[in-house]
Amino acid sequence: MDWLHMTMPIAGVEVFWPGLVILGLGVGIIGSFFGMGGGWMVTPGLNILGFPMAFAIGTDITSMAGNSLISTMRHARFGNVDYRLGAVMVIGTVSGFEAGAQMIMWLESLGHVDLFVRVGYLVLLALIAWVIFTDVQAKRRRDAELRAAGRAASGDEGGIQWHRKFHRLRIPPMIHFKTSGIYCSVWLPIGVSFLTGWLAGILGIGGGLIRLPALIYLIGVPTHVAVGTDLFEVVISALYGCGSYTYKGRTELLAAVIMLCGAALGAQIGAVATKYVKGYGIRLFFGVAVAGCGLSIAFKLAASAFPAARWFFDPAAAVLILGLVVALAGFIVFKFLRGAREEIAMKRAQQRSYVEK
Amino acid sequence: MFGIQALLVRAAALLLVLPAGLAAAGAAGQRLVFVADSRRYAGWQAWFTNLYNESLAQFTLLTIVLVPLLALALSSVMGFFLSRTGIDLKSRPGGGAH
Repeated sequence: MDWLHMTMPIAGVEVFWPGLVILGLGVGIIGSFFGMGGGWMVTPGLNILGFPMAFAIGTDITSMAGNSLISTMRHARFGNVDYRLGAVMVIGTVSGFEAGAQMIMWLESLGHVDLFVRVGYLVLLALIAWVIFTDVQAKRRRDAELRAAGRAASGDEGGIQWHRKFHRLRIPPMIHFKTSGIYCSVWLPIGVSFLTGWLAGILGIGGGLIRLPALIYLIGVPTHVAVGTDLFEVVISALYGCGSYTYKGRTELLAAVIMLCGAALGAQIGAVATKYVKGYGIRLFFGVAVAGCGLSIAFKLAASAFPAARWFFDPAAAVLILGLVVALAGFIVFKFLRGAREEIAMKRAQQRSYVEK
Repeated sequence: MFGIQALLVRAAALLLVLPAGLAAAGAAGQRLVFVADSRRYAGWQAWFTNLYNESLAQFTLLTIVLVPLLALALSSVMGFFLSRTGIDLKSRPGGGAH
């Protein structure tokens, strides 16, 4: 079975290449559905496949640049991309990302980069999962109250509404984002994108994991538009990150290209699947993904802290992250197939009735 | 309201100052240099590893040109096959809304 393994010319490690294609396919489906690059899956995934963390981050960002470009193109066709908002956020994203990337280089020289990245991931994932589940719970409570009062459910309204407070800040210049239906201070998206870009640079991710909830909860962008706009941002930040990490010699280009072959199919499936799922459905499953990923990082940290129990925690982390990717990708593919089947059946029925008339 | 604005202004000032300090701190990390073992390879792999070792600028240029081009090509191919299924790939129900 030697043909299933390939030596990566830059990193010099032997890698199970079908694992890279599967990882690309999974991240393409999930990333395109949730509007993110998928660094939270790919960086640990590449690490599990045998890449050193420094190469895992650069390679991940490089494949993410291609993957998110494919997803953005598909989402743009559905009107899910707010280019104006994305362009404004580029300023904060790029400067924040470079600050984060410089910080990770400094930490690497101190020799604590793996620990720092994992602890950072864990804290961030816990916080995001908490926000999303609190939001979903608040939304359910509100819908139950509306139903009790004999009124219709609130659509995407009803959960956490932090953005309303931020919209009241009238720091000039003010700006109108038509696609998102938002009027706010231009400093709000710039500030939010700097913060998310900085975190992305430190953690070696495109930033979608942080930016999607930030777009929804801090800026008030509708879920579907947040997904598309987030991907547009990921393209820019990942391309910048790709250049930055590659120039520092931390990218295994061959691995990124192999992953992109799987991601090309996955990205199309994930983007089309958003047609068939409501905004709050996307939020809820995003929360599940974040919580599962956080648990796998906790296992990795526990393995470092308790070397005697490493035999349990290391495989458990790998199984959990792979299980999560398979389960989420399976769910999205199921939604895609069911939605597509219904849409095609409806079209055929319409054609039949037209012919009969 | 004034309190929140003051807090945001201070946070923005801190965020503007932060990159300079981090950039200064980043210099030590750049001393770590990775070298690919090009002696193990022949053909395109030897060229590839030599490019990486000799000019990271050219290697970076190759990467940031190749990846988007490959993505566009693969996207076109996959989009073509997907459009054959009969799915509407240009709109979604309630497009633009929540």
